Amino acid sequence: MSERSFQGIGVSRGIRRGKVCLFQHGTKPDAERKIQPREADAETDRFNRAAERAVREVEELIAKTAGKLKEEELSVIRGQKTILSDPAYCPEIRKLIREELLKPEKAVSQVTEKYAAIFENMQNSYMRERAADVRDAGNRLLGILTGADRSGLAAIDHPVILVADDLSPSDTVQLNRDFILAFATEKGGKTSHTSIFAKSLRIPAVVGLTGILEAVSDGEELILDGSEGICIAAPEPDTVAEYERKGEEERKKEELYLRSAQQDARTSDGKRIVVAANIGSYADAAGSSREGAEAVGLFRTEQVYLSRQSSPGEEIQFQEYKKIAECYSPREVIVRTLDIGGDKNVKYLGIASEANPFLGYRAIRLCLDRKELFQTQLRAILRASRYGKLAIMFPMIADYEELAAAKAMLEEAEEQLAKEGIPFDDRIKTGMMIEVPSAALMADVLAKEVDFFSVGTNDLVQYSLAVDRGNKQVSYLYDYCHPAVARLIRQTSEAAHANHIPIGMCGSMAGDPLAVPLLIGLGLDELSMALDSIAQVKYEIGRLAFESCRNLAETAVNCKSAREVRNLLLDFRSGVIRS
Amino acid sequence: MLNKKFVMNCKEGFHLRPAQVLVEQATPFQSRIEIQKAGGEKADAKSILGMMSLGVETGEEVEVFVDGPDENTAMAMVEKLFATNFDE
Repeated sequence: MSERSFQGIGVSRGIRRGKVCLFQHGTKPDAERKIQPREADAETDRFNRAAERAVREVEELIAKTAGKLKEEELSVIRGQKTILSDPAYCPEIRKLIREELLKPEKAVSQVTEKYAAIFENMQNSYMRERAADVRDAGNRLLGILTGADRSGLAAIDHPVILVADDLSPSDTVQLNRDFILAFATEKGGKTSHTSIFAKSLRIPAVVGLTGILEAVSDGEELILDGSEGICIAAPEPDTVAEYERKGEEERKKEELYLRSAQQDARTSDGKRIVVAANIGSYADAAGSSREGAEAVGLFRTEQVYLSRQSSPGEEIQFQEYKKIAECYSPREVIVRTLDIGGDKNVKYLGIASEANPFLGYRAIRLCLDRKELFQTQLRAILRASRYGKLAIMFPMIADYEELAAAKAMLEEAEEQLAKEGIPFDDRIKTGMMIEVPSAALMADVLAKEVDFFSVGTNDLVQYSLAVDRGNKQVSYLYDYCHPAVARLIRQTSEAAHANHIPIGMCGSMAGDPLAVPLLIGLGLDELSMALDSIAQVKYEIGRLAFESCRNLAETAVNCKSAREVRNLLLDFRSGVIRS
Repeated sequence: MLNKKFVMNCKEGFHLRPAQVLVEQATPFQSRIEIQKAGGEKADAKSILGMMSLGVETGEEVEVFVDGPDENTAMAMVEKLFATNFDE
């Protein structure tokens, strides 16, 4: 067979080459055939025995793996038990065997599919993933009923790349991890079990490879690139050589980065820079400390709103924020209040579409207008604040009056809670985003009103250069290396430090190793970024001298264009790499 | 047997949290507790699968059927949950 490549979603980094091991779940139930009424008792008994064994197996699995697995993995296994002991699940299967005279295998598939489909059609991504719990329970029952050889995975005794439709916790638990080079699956997304599992063990993985099971054969050679989400079957010698080189480079770098990840970031001359994570949910938070995040510089609360049909109540928000606060305690988590506008379709908010959504009714403007929505969120954040160290950050402040109004709303929420006798951290820090040029220009005034600044480069670039980065015809202008942006950041940073408050950055610029020396030179105290940039940025910071970063920034703000700044940064970087 | 109609006022409808609250509180009762949407099938209130698949949205009416030795206290529990919007 000649070389074939497959594009999927890379969910766990790394390049591996090895032999394919195909894995498919239990045999399909033979049984379209109906059973005879006189067989109903015997078939029901057969099912009951299978159900009892399934529960026993899951309980043993939980007992065996408790303490060894991470909470997120364990909870997936517990999900199976919940389904198996649900009063609707097994009884409904029994009913189909007795009344419709279906073979148990057929009855199990039918009921499993029915409930899995209900979960899959839900809006909430957490609920959609619960479909996997139902399927796991069903697969386990089917495996027992058909006597399928489930020891297949445990029997793997040489290094392979496992290619499967999807992997469940009961599958991954059987694996000897030393022999799994990588995972490639047809199904699954970034939050599916395979992804979480692979990431937590640092095994490279690509999911969403539709059709790969049919297209590759057992024992065939395969290259998997977890960063790019690519699989290449039967690679040509040139391809092999190219990936060997890439893989070797990646491995060397990973090792270097990992050593820096667990230490606090400091420049070579001792200037402390806090390297933090941008997160969107509890699932991100759980993974981020492993990547070396020292804090959360941006917790985007939008996901809590976007994953629902109706506005999330105080209790739902409180629970989510509390989990994150606890997960990070005693380190700080900066919670950004709702940053949403007419460009996102949140039906229940009923925001009219606008000609210029990025200049319109959004973020803090919307929250100040919809007091109830804002109060609910502020109360939830405040209530969660006593479970860790939370800070509140207001997005898109353009004007002093807006900031004053937002702070007044926060005060109102605090007074209400105090009146109701509900505890919260009354020394919670309050900050604002610097993402509108007017705020950067007025930073000396605004700095007196807040405990910290955080620069949001994505919007700051868009607003200061008047460029829509989604518009290909003008996107050449969109460059965070523009000296105008550097000047705005410098002005903000000087105002922050003159007023003794810290300044961070949470836009994508903060995670770009090329830009990091400039940002440090401009005086940023904290850089907050996507999880997978953290280890590298920490490593890079350790090789920089604060003094030379300062000189670099001084030159950059006097450059004529973004291109000139980029060239300067490239020269600086190659100098650092050579040294 | 007791039966009574309720309107679902939880903001999020009968989704994960309210369904979990109901299943937790219903399970200890000996009585059979079932919920039915107008024109739909009855679902077991002790089953999270059953409750989730009902798909009751905010503002919808449901009928609750309770049958068994402790049906009075069970119905009182159900009434309280609906009255307090499932502890929202």
